[in-house]
Amino acid sequence: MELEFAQPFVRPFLDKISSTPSSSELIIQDFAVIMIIASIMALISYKLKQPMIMAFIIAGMIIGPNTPPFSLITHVEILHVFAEIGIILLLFVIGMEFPIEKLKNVGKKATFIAVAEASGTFMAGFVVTQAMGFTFFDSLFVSLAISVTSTVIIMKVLEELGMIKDEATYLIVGIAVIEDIIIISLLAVLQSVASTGDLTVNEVGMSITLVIAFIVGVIVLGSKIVPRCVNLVGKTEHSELLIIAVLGVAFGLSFVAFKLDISVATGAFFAGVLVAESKMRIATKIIATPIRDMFGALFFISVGALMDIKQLPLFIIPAVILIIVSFSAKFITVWAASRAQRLGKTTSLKTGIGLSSSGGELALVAAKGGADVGATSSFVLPMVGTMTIITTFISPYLIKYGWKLTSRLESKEAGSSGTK
Amino acid sequence: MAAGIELIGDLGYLLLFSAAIGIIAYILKQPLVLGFLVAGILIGPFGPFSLIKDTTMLTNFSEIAIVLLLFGVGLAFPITQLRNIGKIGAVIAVIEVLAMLGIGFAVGWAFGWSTMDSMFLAAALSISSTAIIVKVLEEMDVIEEPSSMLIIGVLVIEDIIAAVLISTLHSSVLSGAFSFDQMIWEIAKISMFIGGTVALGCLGMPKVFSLLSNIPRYEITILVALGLAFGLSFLSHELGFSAVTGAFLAGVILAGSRFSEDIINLITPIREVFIAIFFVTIGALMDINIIAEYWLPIIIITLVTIVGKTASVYLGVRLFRLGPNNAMGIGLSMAQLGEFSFIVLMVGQDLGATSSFLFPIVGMVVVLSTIFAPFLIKRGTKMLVSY
Repeated sequence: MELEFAQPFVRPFLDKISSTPSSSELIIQDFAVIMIIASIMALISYKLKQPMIMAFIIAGMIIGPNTPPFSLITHVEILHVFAEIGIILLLFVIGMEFPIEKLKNVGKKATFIAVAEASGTFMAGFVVTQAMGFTFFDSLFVSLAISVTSTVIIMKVLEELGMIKDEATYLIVGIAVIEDIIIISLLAVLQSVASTGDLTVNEVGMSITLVIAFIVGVIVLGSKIVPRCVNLVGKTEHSELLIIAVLGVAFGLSFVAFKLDISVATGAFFAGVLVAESKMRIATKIIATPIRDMFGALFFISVGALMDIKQLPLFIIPAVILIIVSFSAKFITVWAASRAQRLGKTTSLKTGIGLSSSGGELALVAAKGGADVGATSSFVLPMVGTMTIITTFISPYLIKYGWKLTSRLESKEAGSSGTK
Repeated sequence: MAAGIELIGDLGYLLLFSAAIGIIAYILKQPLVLGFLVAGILIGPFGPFSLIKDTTMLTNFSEIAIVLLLFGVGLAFPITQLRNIGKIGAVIAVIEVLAMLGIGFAVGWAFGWSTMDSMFLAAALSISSTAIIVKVLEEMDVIEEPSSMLIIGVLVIEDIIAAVLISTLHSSVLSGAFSFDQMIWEIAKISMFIGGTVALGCLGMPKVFSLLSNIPRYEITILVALGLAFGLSFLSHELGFSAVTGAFLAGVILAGSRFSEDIINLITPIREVFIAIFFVTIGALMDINIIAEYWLPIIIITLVTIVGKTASVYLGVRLFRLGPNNAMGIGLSMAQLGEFSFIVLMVGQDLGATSSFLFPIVGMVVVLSTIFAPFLIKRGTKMLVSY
């Protein structure tokens, strides 16, 4: 759909360029524009000590078709593909931090917190949207959309802050991945409810069974096959064979997950988990990281390119209200659930802050899911889009300063207890 | 998103399939490049499995791959080194290219092909493959030998000549006639472009790098490097040259900096993925049904290529009073074709200048010469060691 509204902007450009003999070389032009603008923005944001994500998103807005003067790139569809590859690689590399052992460690806690968070936020969202006079289905889908947390954005910010080895980080990632799974299954259920009009236990059961079957299948079967194959490839000592093999696994599994109506991100994450089981884990991580960096940047650039800033004023009031609702609901549920799981004060606080900013690509998927089955009013999708724009801008700062504050509290506490 | 995800699926099995064939190639001690080509033939629209139907995205990937390929070659080539082997390399390269152009054109003419087909055949046969030869030399662990440096020097100068050739072909097809003036003009333009870029790059880049050196962020380094590579490629394309010239120059400029090591490490994985996809794409675009029909020209052209290249390089090296063993060794190492042949042919096909049979024929010749290359290079390097 993004392609359609981009067309009028792209058209004059296409026409101008289609007279040159080899149209395929325009890819190089797009790449040149993207890379140069992105590196300039990245350098500026580095100088200003701002999160790198902001640099890429702003670069995307400059490049993209929605901001004046016009689209600087010709192949918008390429950007979509690269964004998709970006999500997969980001989650794949994250997955590599989680061998099955570690996944088991955080799994139970993370599942508990994720369920608490998703249901808490969903209910809070539903109550508030009902109070704001939304229709029943509008409420349902909007609530679902605000329950989403963007795994990709959180991870990127944490990595930039050098927090990737923190205890809270593992927990956050675990929760975010499980939450993704929950949201996607809920979306499937809601969609069938919206189109058939009633809720059958069968359907809910089906989609839950499917998700569990996928995860169990991947872990049980996959951990027998994939690590061995990767070891075999590793024995050839050809790094290019290794990298194409593991990327093949990542893309393949993401595609399978997508086909089963589980998110692409989930597939990619578990592909990373499986590769982490092999002996080649470290080698793979080293060679996958630069590719991830390149496509990760492309992902955030495409997020920026597809943002339509002009929508901002239209839905600003309900969007801000909903952001506040989702923020507080998430923070409270996550914090409470973490405390209930006997996690430390700071860890709970950090986890709460880390997961409290909603939004991200899945929120749009959820909102679009409602529109696709014709259940929601026409304002829902752009409103969720507006929310995503706002939260994408806020989250990096929220996490950064929230965590700094927590660390300060922690050291103060440690200091005061030390003096006692 | 939906279209994007289908492509992810395509990419997924493309990569898995290539990895599998790559392992087979490894077990059979063949270069991986060959494995990728075969994988492409098998899954391409003309192959038995025909898994990939839409090759548009793959050709887009190939464009990026070519830039990354030449960028990487340039990165391994600091300007000082280019100067050292410049003269000897240039003479050998020019002799080889001229000889092969003549031979190639004659062969095409003897087959009774059109002038255009013969011209593109000649151009396709004239350039050896930097990527394949370098890869084989690396795999055999002789890449640091002085003779290997000479081979690479010749190859790189050939690459520059190739850029001129492609640009000349491009403009002569568009203007309808081959003109000698045109070629001289192209050479002058490209020399100006190369000189200007290198001069500006060497003057301006150290400042940018001293700025970058304070930044511990690898993603910025990657972005800047890629920005330079694609930016110069595009500039070179806009000026009417081939994009590969710009990519190579971007590499050369960066090679002089003290980041070249870092950049090589960061770019290599990205490059490898795209190059694998590139070779798979080439395989996928080949219509193997035509091969059965044209087996005779394929064999003849392959033989002519190997003999012609060995002989002309031998002559070139002998001019510099190096021993006959040495000359033979280097000659044998150079006796194959590679990605440039495909680029030349793609230009021909894009412009509608060549007949449809030319691409698969030359493609098959490239495949055959790639199969022979490791044997020949092994032979060749043994001769070198004995002197």
